[in-house]
Amino acid sequence: MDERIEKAFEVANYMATLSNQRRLAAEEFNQKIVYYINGATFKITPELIGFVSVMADRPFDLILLDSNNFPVKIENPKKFLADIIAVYDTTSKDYLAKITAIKSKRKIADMVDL
Amino acid sequence: MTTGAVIFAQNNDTVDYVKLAVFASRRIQKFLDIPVSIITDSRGWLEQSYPDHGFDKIIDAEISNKYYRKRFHDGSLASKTSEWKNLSRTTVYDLTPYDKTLVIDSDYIINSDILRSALNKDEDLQLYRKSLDLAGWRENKQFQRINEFSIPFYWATTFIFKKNNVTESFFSLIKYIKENWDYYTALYNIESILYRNDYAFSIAIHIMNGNQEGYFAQELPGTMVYTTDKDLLIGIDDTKLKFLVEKQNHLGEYIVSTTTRLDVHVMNKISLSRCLDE
Repeated sequence: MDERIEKAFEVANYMATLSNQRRLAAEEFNQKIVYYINGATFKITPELIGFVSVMADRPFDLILLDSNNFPVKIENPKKFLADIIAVYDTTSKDYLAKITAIKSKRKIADMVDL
Repeated sequence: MTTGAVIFAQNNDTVDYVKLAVFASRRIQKFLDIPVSIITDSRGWLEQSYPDHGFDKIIDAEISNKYYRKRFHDGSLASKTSEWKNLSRTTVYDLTPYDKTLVIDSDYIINSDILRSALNKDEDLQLYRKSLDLAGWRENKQFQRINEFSIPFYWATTFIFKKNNVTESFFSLIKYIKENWDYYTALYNIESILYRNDYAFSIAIHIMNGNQEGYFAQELPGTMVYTTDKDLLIGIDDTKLKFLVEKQNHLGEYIVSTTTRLDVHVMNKISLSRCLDE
């Protein structure tokens, strides 16, 4: 086989692996940004953080819909806000670090060893 | 209220399910810290081959000569046809020693504590509906609805249920569906003639919801991540799993994939068994 074609197939293989590893890193992130409280499950999103930030100081109860669309009363909105920000912060930093590391690896073996 | 996990293991001439169950049990104890019991028709084999198995209770499954035959793939090029004993899942309601039970297939590898929160929830039944194939290109319509025009698909691979009158009715319904499988395959236009727990669960959930979408079954947190038996598991290093995933349009070729801290349903039991031997 022509050397250039052989090289092209190698690159294609590398790109397929890169693409799949990015997809799996995204799934790892999605599974880690889940927060549980009082039997309710929340996927932490910037929208959730923003909404709770606005509502946390208001003088009435904070009711949120969890991932199953069930209403949940948040007893301590400030603590809830601090907790979800902490989880989101740690998890997004881990995700960034992993994606950066994946992209920096030029060999498939190095990439999947991360 | 007691909480624990139950794993089914019924060996055939291709897969030592008991070995997989011993491994799965250790993962559950490590990440979820709950007792694990096994329901098996191979008590002698378990006690003789894995004396340090660590199961809370060994529960005997009824030995039955009724089973299907199914092709077990080991990657995209090799396969073997063997017995497939999947008919005893409906007995879990009566056999589980726990009030709240996590049931997993022996080929479901726990790598995280994501299910821990679900164990603390006050729900009758929790199981997965969303799923993610490690190979991004493969068609996964069959894991979204039981057919293109039919009801939502739920995974019976991993579920949590609480013992009460409602779930007792649910499992009775599944048993009825199993006993009348030909009728239900026709009614729901299911192509597979093999009885599948996933389909029976999906139908029973649909009926429990009054034949519409409803809230009877809650979704487990996260996603059911799976690889089919056309892929190969080639390494387990603590929470990291390494796979060769079938490549699109290139029979017998694979790309390497790794997962970290993700629970994964490894349908290639032969390669899982091989990894456990290494």
